[in-house]
Amino acid sequence: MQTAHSVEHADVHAHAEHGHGGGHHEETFLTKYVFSQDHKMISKQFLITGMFWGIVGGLLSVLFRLQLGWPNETFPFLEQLFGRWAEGGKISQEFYYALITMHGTILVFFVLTGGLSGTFANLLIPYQVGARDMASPFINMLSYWFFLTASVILFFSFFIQTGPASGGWTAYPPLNGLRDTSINLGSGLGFDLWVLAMALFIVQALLGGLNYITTVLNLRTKGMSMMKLPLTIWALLFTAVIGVLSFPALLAGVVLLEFDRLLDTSFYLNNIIINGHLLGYKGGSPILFEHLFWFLGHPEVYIIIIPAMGIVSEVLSVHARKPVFGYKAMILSLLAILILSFIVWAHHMFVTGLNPNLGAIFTLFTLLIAIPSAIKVFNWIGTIWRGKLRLTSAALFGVGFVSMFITGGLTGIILGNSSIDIQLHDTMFVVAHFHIVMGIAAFFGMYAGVYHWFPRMYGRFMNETLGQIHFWITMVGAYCIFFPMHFMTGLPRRYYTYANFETFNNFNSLAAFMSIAAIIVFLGQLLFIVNFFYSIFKGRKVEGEYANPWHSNTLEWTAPVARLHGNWEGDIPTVHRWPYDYSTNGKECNPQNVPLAPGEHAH
Amino acid sequence: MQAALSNDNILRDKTEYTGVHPQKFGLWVGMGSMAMFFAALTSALLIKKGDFRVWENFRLPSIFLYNTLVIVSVSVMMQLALISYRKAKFFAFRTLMILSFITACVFLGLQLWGWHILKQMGLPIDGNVAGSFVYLLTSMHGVHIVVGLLVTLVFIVYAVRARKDPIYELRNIINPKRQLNLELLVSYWHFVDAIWVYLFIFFYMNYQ
Amino acid sequence: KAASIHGVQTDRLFNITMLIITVVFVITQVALFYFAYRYNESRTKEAYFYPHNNTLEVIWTIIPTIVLTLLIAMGMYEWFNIFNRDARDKNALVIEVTAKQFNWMIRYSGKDGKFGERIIDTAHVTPTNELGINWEDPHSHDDFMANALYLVKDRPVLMKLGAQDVIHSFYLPHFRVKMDCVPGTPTQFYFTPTMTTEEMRQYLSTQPWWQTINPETGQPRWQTFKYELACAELCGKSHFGMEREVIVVTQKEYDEWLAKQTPLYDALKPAAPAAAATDSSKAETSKATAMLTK
Ligand code: HEA
Ligand code: HEA
Ligand code: CUA
Ligand SMILES: [Cu+2]
Repeated sequence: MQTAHSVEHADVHAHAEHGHGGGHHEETFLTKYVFSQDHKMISKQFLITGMFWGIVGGLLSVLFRLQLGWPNETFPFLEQLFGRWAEGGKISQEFYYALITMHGTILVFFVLTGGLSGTFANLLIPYQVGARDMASPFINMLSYWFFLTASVILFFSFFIQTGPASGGWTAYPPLNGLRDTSINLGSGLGFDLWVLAMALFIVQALLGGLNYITTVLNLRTKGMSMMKLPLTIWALLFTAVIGVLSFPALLAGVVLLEFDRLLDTSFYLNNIIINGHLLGYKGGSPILFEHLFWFLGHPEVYIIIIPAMGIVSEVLSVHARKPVFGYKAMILSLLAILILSFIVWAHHMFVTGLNPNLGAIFTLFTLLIAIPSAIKVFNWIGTIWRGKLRLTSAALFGVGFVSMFITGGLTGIILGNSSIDIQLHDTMFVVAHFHIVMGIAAFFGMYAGVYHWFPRMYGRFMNETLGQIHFWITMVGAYCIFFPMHFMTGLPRRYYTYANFETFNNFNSLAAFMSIAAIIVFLGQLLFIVNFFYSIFKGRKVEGEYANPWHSNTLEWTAPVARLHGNWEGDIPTVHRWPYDYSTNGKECNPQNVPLAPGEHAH
Repeated sequence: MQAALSNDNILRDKTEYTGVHPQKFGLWVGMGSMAMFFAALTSALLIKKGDFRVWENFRLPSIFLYNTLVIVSVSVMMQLALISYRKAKFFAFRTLMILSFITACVFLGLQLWGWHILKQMGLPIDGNVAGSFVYLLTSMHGVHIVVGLLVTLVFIVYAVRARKDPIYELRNIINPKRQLNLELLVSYWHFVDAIWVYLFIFFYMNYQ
Repeated sequence: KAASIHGVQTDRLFNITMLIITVVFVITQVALFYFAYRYNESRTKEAYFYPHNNTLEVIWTIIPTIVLTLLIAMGMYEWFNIFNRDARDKNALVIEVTAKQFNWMIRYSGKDGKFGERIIDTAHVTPTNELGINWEDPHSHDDFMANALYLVKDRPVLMKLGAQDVIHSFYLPHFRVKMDCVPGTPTQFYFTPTMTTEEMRQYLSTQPWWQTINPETGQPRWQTFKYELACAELCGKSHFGMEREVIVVTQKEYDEWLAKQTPLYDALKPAAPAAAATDSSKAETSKATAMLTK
């Protein structure tokens, strides 16, 4: 597949040659906005597709929060909207499970993997390492088109007769392993589409990832040694490495699953008895799927958080006018997280009947991850200590990220301890953990990035007041939704209602409160959407031809505001210093391409 | 203009950082990823084999051994094609490309034949997992072959078309881009061949 | 309050960890927001160029390492206590629970204390004998199915878990017990309940929240308290409905209850296995994997 592009598009680079050096050549609407091979345009395509999915995923959560918050009420408008899925204005059980499954899938993969890495790797890698484009712009374009095709297929699955996948985002067989819709409505065609979409998504991630890695390692400009790379690039590089190594495992997992579903093999199925009828599957084990799934699934959560960590490191340092504290420690801790992320996956499987010795080993590695995480947290705090923090929206989201990462990460310490996890596994405590550390923290990282690099993308600023409102609504609202979940001790997750249990049925008013907060938070996000699109056209323009609105050191701001194909008109700037020379050398800002002053030594 | 490009890595054959062309580097990363895919599948096999009583062992049909020779010959021919291309021996190049294409098709055909034999041995795809894994791994490998075939076909079409125009043909060798593309394709074939050899050895060790 | 021996221990561990992370939480959040406020543009003139300090890095690597080592050690100790097969009581009560959509099938071994053999093949597994019990095995004749999970106070119990169709998870929130029920792969969990249902009610009657009146029943909440069994792995559309009552009694009450149960064998008058072999399933009946439960 890698070579597929080369023949038809042998002229890709010739193309790039024309693009820069000022002399623009004709571009049609199609080549500029649709089949674009320009990293900047591809980045916007990822961002906007991601936003679309963000709205869909968030909306789904509002729908199922209606059910969770008011299990006894009916909402007639739901029936008008969804017909038989919400008969009598009440979300049906099948619909509820379809909603949470798609909510998880969409937000984890399509927003915070495709949307987040896709946007920022494409935008920042060529700009910040000083390259005219990705190593293979054509593959880069393909990567987006795989993403879009996957998106279309996933979206289409909402409209089929049996509805979308509904067996959880983790897609465990046998629930998802039998095409019989009487066992699980969503595991008919809906799940096949889910698998197809995921397979295309994985191809997308691999095509993107190999480009990111290659570009960072090969196409750095003169003087840009690895130790002069901004932390964003380090983070995106590590993310791509994790993706390239772990996504194939998920692909293998779902391929086996489809073999079972379509060709009646028995990789995952053994002695299945439906209504007293023994099916012919023999010898498989569902646990094998769990291993394959979590071998990706766990690194996946770091694929989500690491780019956000990189963005936040950069944003905090720029806005605090102070070098990021412990640059090397930041890189080493990322590396440690990368390595550890591959050897902790079974902490999602402590109670599957796993060998207890394995459980102990996975506890050990899991808790070790807290050490590099701790280093990062303290370094971020160190970065703003005695800084001169500009509390822009970007910086606020950066601070919010650190706060959320601490809160969510610390509960991970509890879950990581296998003996405590016996009680907490698959309860609302887990839901609280991963929403705070992933749902909210990673989103904050992404928002920080969007507010920070919006001027780079569109030559205009986003509205600052709206940005601040957006921040406070989300920050306070998100804590209101997810913090109380910690106190719903022992409540199992993925429960349509708790009414069948005396033990669990005590939190109705709290649940309603959380649902109200969820609705407010969702509306708050729409504020962001409005701000975003409004600012593209009407936002305050950045001043000058080479504006550097945040007085940042990195290379992306040395390129002209008009976004050229090829990024720089003449030479790509040569790099002389590390990216975090803030408030030194008598100046607040010392861009990377400024030679060292006499007597100054490099970092 | 030339001066302006002085530090444009993207236009170079090799970058100073890794010493290879970036696209070749990219292909390697991709190979690493595909290797992970097969690693995941084969470890699934090992887990199954190790942990369940139902693994029914059998002897792998010898057709797969012969087929290994077939696929290795594709690799050899592709390499020869590349060499002829570099020496501007276009007739040899074209012939070798077409031969490789056909041989790879034969490989696929023989794999299908291998499935047939398995089935006759009483190992249908939905039978014992031990058998299912052979179908699984060969078909996943087959998908990679098909992708290689499609790309090779495009090369052949180009080469055959260029045959009519010797000047165009000559320009081809001067164009380093073309040669790079061919190198990438050849590397890809070596890679899928190596994967098969790995799979074969793996089978050989696990099925007796 | 946990109602099992290991539950008390894991709760303690939970509280210790919670205490530690609360301290960390407060320190870091306060520092973070205070610095963001104090070193804000409007309050400082100039940022302090301070790129790194290796001593600090080492300190904040070592301290968490020590804390975590402690947590890991305590966790592992507990973990191996829970799963230590050698330390198990041979006289433990053995109960077999098989989950299916959307129900729990709870089987007791009856008077002889031995379960009848189960054979999973199309000859034995039929709609009237979903578990595939081999009626030829005399041990099966006194086995009975229960509507609720009866446990004995202070008597260790070994749960033998399994599932018919999809993965379920056997979850006893009050006893801090959870273990997946996987079709085709047996699992188990060993624990000791420490409080009867009655004792738990008495205990709860002293707790303020439990003294409030439940509007649905009109009684104080503690009076209607019951232990429950729940399903904790998504298993389909009625996953949330797999409720069963769990009743912990004294040995004496248990024996009385036991005497009243009708064995399944008598209740069913087993249909001839041959009749069921015409089943539509595609499996061959010959080589069956038997799941032996002793
Ligand atoms: C971005 C995503 C993300 C991140 C970063 C993390 C981070 C961590 N996660 Fe989380 N996790 C998820 C996403 C994430 N997780 C998701 C999605 C699930 C559920 C999936 C599903 O089932 O649907 C999950 C579930 C999950 C489980 C399984 C629970 C269960 O189902 O039973 C466990 C168990 O070990 C766990 C542990 C951890 C740990 C130890 C970390 C660590 O990396 C956290 C490290 C950070 C800190 C510890 C905070 C900062 C440190 C300090 C301030 C220093 C001082 C601290 C000490 C001395 C203690 N997570
Ligand atoms: C990144 C992941 C992510 C995010 C952001 C969220 C956001 C939210 N989640 Fe979700 N959730 C999951 C991942 C996520 N969730 C997963 C993996 C599961 C498990 C599924 C399963 O069990 O299988 C889950 C399950 C889950 C449950 C448990 C259901 C159950 O077990 O029964 C609940 C319950 O309240 C819930 C609620 C919410 C709410 C109220 C929000 C709110 O915060 C929503 C507010 C809206 C947004 C945050 C999106 C707004 C974004 C934009 C408008 C676009 C901006 C875009 C760009 C800048 C590109 N979620
Ligand atoms: Cu059974 Cu969930
Ligand atoms: Cu994890």
